[in-house]
Amino acid sequence: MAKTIVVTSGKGGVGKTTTSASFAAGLALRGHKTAVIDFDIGLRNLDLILGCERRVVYDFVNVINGEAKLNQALIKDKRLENLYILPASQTRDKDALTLDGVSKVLHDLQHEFECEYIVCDSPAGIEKGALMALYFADEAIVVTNPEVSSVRDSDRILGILAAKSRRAVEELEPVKEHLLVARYDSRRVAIGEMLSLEDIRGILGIPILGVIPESPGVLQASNIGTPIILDDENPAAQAYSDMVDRFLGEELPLRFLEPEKRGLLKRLFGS
Amino acid sequence: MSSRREFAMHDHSSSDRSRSGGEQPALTIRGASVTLQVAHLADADLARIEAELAAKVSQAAGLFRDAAIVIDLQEVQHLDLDLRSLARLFRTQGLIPVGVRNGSAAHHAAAQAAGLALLQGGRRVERAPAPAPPETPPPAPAPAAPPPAAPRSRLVTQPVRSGQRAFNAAGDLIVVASVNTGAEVLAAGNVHVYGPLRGRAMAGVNGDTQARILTTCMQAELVAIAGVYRSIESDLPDEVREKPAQVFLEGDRLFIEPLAAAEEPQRKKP
Repeated sequence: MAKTIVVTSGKGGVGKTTTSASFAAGLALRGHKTAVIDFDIGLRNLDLILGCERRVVYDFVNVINGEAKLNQALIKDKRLENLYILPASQTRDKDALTLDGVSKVLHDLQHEFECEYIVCDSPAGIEKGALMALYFADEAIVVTNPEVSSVRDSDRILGILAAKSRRAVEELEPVKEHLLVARYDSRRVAIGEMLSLEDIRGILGIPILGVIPESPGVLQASNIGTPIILDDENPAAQAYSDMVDRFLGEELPLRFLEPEKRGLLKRLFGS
Repeated sequence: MSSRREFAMHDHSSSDRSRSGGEQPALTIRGASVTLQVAHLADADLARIEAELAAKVSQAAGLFRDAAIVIDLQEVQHLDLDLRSLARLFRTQGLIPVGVRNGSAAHHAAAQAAGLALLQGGRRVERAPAPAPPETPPPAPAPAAPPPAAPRSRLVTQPVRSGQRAFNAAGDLIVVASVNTGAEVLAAGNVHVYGPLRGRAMAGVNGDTQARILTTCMQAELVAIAGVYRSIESDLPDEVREKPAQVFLEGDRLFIEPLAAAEEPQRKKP
């Protein structure tokens, strides 16, 4: 039984697509057949972050409209044999999505392509695209940044998950919620410029799946089209790896919560 | 006061969820309860109504902006009233009049001609006179008249999140989780929040002036009892901020006080 996981946030720019790409890549890296779908119709980005933008021929909307078969639109990742990407359409808008169409794509990914995990990369906002992305979710990864407006919007999206998802509408077991705190700058948290993990936990009250430290490497990775999780040296990549392991049931302590202690050599020679 | 904030509940039991051949219907109609503000007119003088309405709206613009409102005509049944101008007057203030109720037959005909709906309910029976404000703190909220049936309380165990609203039109609302910023909790009776109350809380929404708001951690954005509200923009005093507190009404004044067990509450202006 495949699991459908929505990566959502309410607010834009918090790291949904970065998280979707690294989370899906992490699952694939661990041998699970995984598809990641870009629901941001009209503002397609996931293909860029995964470095397959030049291989997009057909897209999600083409499949929904019956203009292409799923296997024509699905892009197999060049680095990871278990990773498949279903890109968004850049020329349509969110109204092109229908519940029946999305439902059929999810069904086919599970039954024809035997995907174990389907990651739905939600657009920002609480409108149609976001509702479509979260509707069929079994689990939700809510991405938030340590600042007030982002946390407020995450709270809003958690309310929508509890009211408007398929599991809520059909009165099934509720969507399992996970919190991912991204762009966590421990130095700014320490001097009180950003919300602490405790503040965020206190407001949202859902379990924390991971904390991703702010890192310049994330931007570089997306510029060259590699999911950050594949960069073993980067702290954000290690934090994403931990998050994937936790999602799969491992118990790991949170890392990168304290500002890095600068060693003697670094202090002498600068960095 | 010619208009008073009140909340009404509309219940429709009809529902149409028929589906044909597994295809998604273009339209479903479901009954839903919607909370609306009700303006009770006590005078048909449009100039007076306009002045008082403008004053109210300016006090809490955020609360009234684009809010749907029902106009209750019970107290002006015998008076002539230009409903078209009345509706325009509400719209000028940024409200959206959606219907009238409890008017005369002539009012109702004029309302329909003006595109307003006719709504039922909310006919007020003569209320028992409100108990005189006691000199000493009231020992307990003494019910003015025993209700015919025990009011039903409603329990909420999940956090009430931004954009969500928990409402009990029949009695108390008890929340054993947080009420987050941007959320609303409303009850005809008392509102109890065993957790941080960071959003808006409104008790006694049908006019019960004895209703209270009680919380273990007061951080509300707005509190209201029986339509008397206070938005909390500046910080609350230390003795109630993020502490157990209660909100109650005495006369026209709202009091926010610490909820300290076995201690005589002191009269303090919030």
